[in-house]
Amino acid sequence: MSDIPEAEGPYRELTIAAAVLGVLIGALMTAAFVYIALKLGFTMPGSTVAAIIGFAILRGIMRRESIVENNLNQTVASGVNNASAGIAFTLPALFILGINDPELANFNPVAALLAAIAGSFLGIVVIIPLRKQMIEFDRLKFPSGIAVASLLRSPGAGERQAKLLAGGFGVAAILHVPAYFGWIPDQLPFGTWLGGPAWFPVTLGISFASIGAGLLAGRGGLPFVFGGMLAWWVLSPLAINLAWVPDMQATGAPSMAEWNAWAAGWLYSEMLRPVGIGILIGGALSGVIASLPALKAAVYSLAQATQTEGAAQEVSARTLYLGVAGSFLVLFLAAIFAAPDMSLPHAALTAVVGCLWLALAGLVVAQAAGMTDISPISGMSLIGVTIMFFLTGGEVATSIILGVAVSIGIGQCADMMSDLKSGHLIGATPRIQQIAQFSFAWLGVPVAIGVLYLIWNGPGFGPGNPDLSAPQGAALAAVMEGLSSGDAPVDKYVTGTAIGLAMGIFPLSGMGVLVGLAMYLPFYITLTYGVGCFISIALERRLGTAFMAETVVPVSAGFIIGEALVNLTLTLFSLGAGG
Amino acid sequence: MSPVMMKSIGAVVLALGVMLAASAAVQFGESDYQQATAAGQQTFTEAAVAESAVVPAAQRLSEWRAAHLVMLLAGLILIITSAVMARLADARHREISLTASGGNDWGETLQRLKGDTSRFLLELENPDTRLDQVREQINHVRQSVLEPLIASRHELEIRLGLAAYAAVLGPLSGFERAFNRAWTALADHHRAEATASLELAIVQLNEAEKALQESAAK
Repeated sequence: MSDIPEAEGPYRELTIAAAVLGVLIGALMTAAFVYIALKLGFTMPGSTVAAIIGFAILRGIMRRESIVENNLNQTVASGVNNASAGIAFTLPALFILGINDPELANFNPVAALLAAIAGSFLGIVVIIPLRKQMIEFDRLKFPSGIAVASLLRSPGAGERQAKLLAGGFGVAAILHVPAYFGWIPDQLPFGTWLGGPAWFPVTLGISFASIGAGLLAGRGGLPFVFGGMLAWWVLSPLAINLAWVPDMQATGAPSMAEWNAWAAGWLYSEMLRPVGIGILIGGALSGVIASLPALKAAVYSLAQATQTEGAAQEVSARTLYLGVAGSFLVLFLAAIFAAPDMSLPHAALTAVVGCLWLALAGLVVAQAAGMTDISPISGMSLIGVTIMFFLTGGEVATSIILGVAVSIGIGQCADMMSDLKSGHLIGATPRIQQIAQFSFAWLGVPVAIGVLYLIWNGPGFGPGNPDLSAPQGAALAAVMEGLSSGDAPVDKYVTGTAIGLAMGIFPLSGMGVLVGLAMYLPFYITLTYGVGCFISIALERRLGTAFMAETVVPVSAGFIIGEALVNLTLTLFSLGAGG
Repeated sequence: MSPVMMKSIGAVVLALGVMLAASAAVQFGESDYQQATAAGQQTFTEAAVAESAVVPAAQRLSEWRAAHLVMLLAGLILIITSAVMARLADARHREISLTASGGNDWGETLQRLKGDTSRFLLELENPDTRLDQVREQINHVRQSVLEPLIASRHELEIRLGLAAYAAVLGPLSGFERAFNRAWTALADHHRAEATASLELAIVQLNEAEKALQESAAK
């Protein structure tokens, strides 16, 4: 027999300790991340941070030896924290627009709260039926999910794997510190160094997290890399040389270098990015159509939930239907509260379209996160707000409030699916994970909105406050002003969607989403990720799949966790020091 | 033409199609181009330049359509052609794989997994068995048998079609999750949970086997 005493009693999974600790960690992260988002315009990946804190407390301090209990704690914490990005990226726009428009400043906070809570529930229930499709049939990677699973499994994975995880963590941490403080550049612009123009970028980011995600994706990430190359190494030079962008003379640019920089920015924001968003949407739509037989099997399996032992691991279809109906009702109420003048049928239509968009955008974001670890939440939220704007006949406050629901909902989709991937790898019960996220994730909403009001009534935020400029909220406010004047790149969205739909016919799962995402993101992210993919392919070819599983996975997980945790620590440290 | 050759040509056609369609999509209509020029002038010239009027969505679409629709359609046709070529190549590959031997024998591998899982269950019944030894064996089976089998899942999809693929892979994934849970429980020194997980794994494996046999019989 082993010298270590064997555990007795039921195996701990969703326990009071895991839930309470998860809610506390999640609430703390939510408060911190709302502040970070208002300051910097981005948040941090919550799952890895929650896993590490939960690991330290549950396993280290409380001596509770259950890997799946720790997974549930992390599922709850990251679900709660998901509200931070959803709220901080959208709701500040309403505060900012309210400065010049007192009518907007008096928006109904109850409507915002209801919409956000409805979004939180809806995001979870719409993505649950796709668990089988994404995790079991398509086998999407979810690099952060793999990283969390590697971390959770480390007590049993053996000394070698633990050392590799720690080594990856150390390398990413050591390199990220000087890059964070600007002691070394955070990007390596090889193209510029060689005298190349800004519209033909050859730039790598100093990000071991991106390389780690590429290492985990391997060959599956190649369409993403090729999409970026198509955008920046083919379309961009074509646009410049065929004068699709106004030339130097027409714009009156004083020098070629300045015009190059302007043209690159214009190409990205007005041409590639909107088309990329369209391709993302079309790719996701066609993905749903192409997967209908498998989806049918997944829904059938949910309907059988009480009939077979295996299928009982899923939340029942009835629960999901009730969840969708309940969330719709709350969103409907939010629409009524937000716009008391709106007729009931109009409010119902707005809520229905909001739910449909949330489901589609949630699918896009979950697929993108599954394939690349990157979630285009802000882009999808932006389109959600645009749709709401047109549906409500130009009601800015109502559009943003319903946009909050979309933003939180699609974040929940990506987070739930990543947590389910971690759960699959350590053998957690999907039904229990789903119930945990469903029961507790909404608690982050009042925390995030409370922190937002607290800061607004204290130091304030927005373009007038250089310390807390709320970049994402300010950008959304600018878009709303643009929409109010009728300015939206509809042609790019429509044509992009047509391309994404056509690409979905090609028998390569998720290609449209990957290519669209590559056009949507800055190229240095795509290229750095691509380096990871190419290294992964070369290593697998040379050293085999066993080497990938035993060595590359823990090292890559260490890269992702190391950069996320060091970034969070340094950011909090800088903010605390008055940075 | 061999399936590999057909698929390679399809990939080239796809690249051309995406390039052509995306080239059309990113271009501006007349009014948008004027707006871009005005924006550039505002960036570079100190003198205030009158902002061009906002282009309504319908006008944007109609101007873009007049200038670039043909190019977009040509690109879409190439993309669809490439998809048809790739699907024909898959069908041809399926025909070849149905007549040829080789590849992963799913029935045999599922049997092997069932044998291994039953053996682990027997070992766990013996109180003198070291849990870490069983855990290492589970890890070995996972890496040497289960992961290669799942990596070859597209062969199954090509042979049986998407619906049958889903019918087999669903319970097989359930087996994988239960097998993973057994490993996790053993890492936590929880013999009873590991035993229960391996028992569930066998139930799932039986379902996968049944689905495979039913699909093969059709």
